[in-house]
Amino acid sequence: MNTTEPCAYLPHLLAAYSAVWLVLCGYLAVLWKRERRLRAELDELQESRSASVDVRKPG
Amino acid sequence: MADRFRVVLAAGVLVGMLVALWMVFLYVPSEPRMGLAQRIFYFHVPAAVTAFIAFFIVFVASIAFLRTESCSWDRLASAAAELGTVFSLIVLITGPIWAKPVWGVYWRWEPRLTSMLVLFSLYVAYLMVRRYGTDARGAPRLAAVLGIVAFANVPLVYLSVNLWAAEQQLHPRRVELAPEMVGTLAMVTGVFVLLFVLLLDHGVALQKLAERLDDMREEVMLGEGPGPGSDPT
Repeated sequence: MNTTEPCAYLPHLLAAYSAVWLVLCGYLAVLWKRERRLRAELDELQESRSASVDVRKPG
Repeated sequence: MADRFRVVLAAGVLVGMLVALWMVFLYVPSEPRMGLAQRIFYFHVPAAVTAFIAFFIVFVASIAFLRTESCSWDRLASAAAELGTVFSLIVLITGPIWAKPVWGVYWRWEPRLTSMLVLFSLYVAYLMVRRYGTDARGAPRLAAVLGIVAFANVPLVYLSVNLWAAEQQLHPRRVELAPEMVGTLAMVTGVFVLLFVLLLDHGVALQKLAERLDDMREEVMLGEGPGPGSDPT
């Protein structure tokens, strides 16, 4: 292969860089969703724990 | 890691990435033979370097975990393996897109491509052991052994262009780069490594959170045992 055209293979370049950003953004989205789920579960557990302590208190 | 340092690191990654993109698209000269397609190299190779660093961390942390049984080593290995797999995926996607205009095919079962695919598959297996292993004590140990064994493939990927016969290779054995190309490559590699450190720290923090959640679940379950007035039958 020998290219002198300035824009030859531009679609390949764009496809490769789009793929890099898609993978990185996808991974960030997975991390963000995981953190949200964990924090929601943590809040839920903390609430249920404090509720069960209230029930067990005499009176 | 302190929150302030995390913010500084994130800002560094952002600024570094903008500078890296400027260098890749505007500063560095085009390679005359491959033209624009060669610019894929500036993300393809740094992604591979970052993946190798990640797998080295998995290797060291796995050995340390087997020796000490400390959860912190296990967390580090797990987070690094996940990131290494993500960066390997970038290598495996950008490689074929670059290969098509240069070699005329997206994929050939040549040594480096094949060994890289095997490496990726091994760490996917590692993550599956961690995700689906039912034995809470056994799964991290099994994953640690896999993390050590899988690392043997990393030097194999790197040396594959020299280990196998030249007629089987599509990757070049030696690459001559202009100084601007070396500078751009170093810049993007530096930014990828910074991004890796940032995400590794976040991954470890999430694992700590998950462990805290497991502990709390256990506490709640123990607390919800039969009360004083319940019928034992």
